[in-house]
Amino acid sequence: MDDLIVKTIIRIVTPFIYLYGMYIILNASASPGGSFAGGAIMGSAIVLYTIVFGLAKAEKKVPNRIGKLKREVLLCFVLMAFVVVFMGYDVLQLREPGAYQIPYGAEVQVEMLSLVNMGIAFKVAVTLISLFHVFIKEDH
Amino acid sequence: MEILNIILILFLIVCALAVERTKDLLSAIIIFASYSLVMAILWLVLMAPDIALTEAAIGAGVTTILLIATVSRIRRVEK
Repeated sequence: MDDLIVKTIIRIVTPFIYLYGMYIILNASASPGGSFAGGAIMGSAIVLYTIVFGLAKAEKKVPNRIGKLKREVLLCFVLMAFVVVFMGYDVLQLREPGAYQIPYGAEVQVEMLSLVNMGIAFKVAVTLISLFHVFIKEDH
Repeated sequence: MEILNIILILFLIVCALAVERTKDLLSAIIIFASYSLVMAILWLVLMAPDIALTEAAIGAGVTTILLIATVSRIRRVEK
């Protein structure tokens, strides 16, 4: 699509889509949404970019080999488990609400669960993008 | 609220029937996207904002894009 207006608007809007996706992912355990929805939103930003700017430019942004990462997502879960153990939590009490939160100041609370959520969202976004890229690529 | 529910469900049924009856596949995809949008509003009315967010992202966004990519590779009008 070779249109100046569309390109400019996508260039302006894409950071906000990313911001919205990141907001949903980081607030996944406290508010509506979740890592799946956030990852899908971040993936659809790249899909939009692919439609407007073409496949060659999009593949420079998201290379094909990123879609093959599987161990790194599992490592998020392992890292989460180790962090919880080393912080001195009782594993049997982790089912209670608020167990994963590190109290840091009065209002800011770092969600431990965000680590797992980021892994899941990364996998969802990358799967979506690589699916679309493979679909487009077979045209030629 | 009751009236809004009834209007949304009626629109949903009309959309579902129209998707099935339309011969032009691109039009069917656009109608299906509007179906997803109404479905998302309906989830919100039923107090499930979690599902509404996912429906708006997946149903209205990604599914439509993938179906349009499919239609661009096959013929557009159903026989």
